[in-house]
Amino acid sequence: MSFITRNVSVILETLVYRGREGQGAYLLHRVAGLGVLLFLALHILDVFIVAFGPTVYNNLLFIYKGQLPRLLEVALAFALIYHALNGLRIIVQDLYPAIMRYHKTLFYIQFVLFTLLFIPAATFMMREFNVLIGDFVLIGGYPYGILVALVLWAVVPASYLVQNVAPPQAGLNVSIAGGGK
Amino acid sequence: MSSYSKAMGPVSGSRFQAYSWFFMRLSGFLVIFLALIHFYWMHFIIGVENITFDTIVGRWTAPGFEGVFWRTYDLFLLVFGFTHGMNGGRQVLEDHITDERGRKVVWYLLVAAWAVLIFMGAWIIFTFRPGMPTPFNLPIPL
Repeated sequence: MSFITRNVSVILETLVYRGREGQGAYLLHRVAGLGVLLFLALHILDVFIVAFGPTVYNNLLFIYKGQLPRLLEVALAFALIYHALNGLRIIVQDLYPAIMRYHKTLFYIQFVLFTLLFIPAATFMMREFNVLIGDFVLIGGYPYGILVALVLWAVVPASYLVQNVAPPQAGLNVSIAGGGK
Repeated sequence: MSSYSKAMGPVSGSRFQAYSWFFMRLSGFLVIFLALIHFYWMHFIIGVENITFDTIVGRWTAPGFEGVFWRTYDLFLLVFGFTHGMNGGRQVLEDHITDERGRKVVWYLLVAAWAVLIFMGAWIIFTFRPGMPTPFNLPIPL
């Protein structure tokens, strides 16, 4: 198998592996981390441009202003908060291995904290934007913020619920994934 | 962590993976606070729409301890945050690239990208002042 087909099948198997909460957390931790890394590279380059003076730098800043960049910034907030809380859980589990017995409880505490931090943050960040059809405001302000927040937030439960939808894979030993409390 | 994958070419046989594991916990814990405070400050206190060249001038060239504080803060974010990110990217690629030659190529590409971007970031943090000469004296109007 080629590099691409092999890794596509690895990613598809990850989605249906039935590792549930832990598998969803692993997948989101990686995707969020890689997303933040891409932004960091861009961010180092854009700060470097201040060396070229106020005109060049202020003209460049259009990349962070407006509705589409703001939606991406909400996605960045999602990735930062998720990766931070999940990383904190990994550190706690590494320092106190006995707590692995309750890893699902820790995950749900993390999920509640994520919800409490992300939903208000995303709602606030989108508050000054509207979805317009001509001059008609389809949805705008805080309701729009809450909608954007909920759509992104739903990615977290979806990351492990999707593993219950897919049928068990023949040839994959899925039974060992259900262990733990 | 990619505990089941072999170390990449140039580092096999060393304690690199153990140091990498420890560094990810240490830098991760530090960057949680640095990055979330930075994000909160820029997006909730100042607001992205209000950020301009003058915002950076105000932070990095503030009189006394304040300017030094923000340059140090941003340097910590750069070094710990970006190194944490590149090492995480290395771990992901390690899990998906299995042939030795590909791993070696990726290793050198990542080290090169890491060195160039850390140098660019650190250089601007240390040398920035309003009206500074443009890099390589490029003829760009100020």
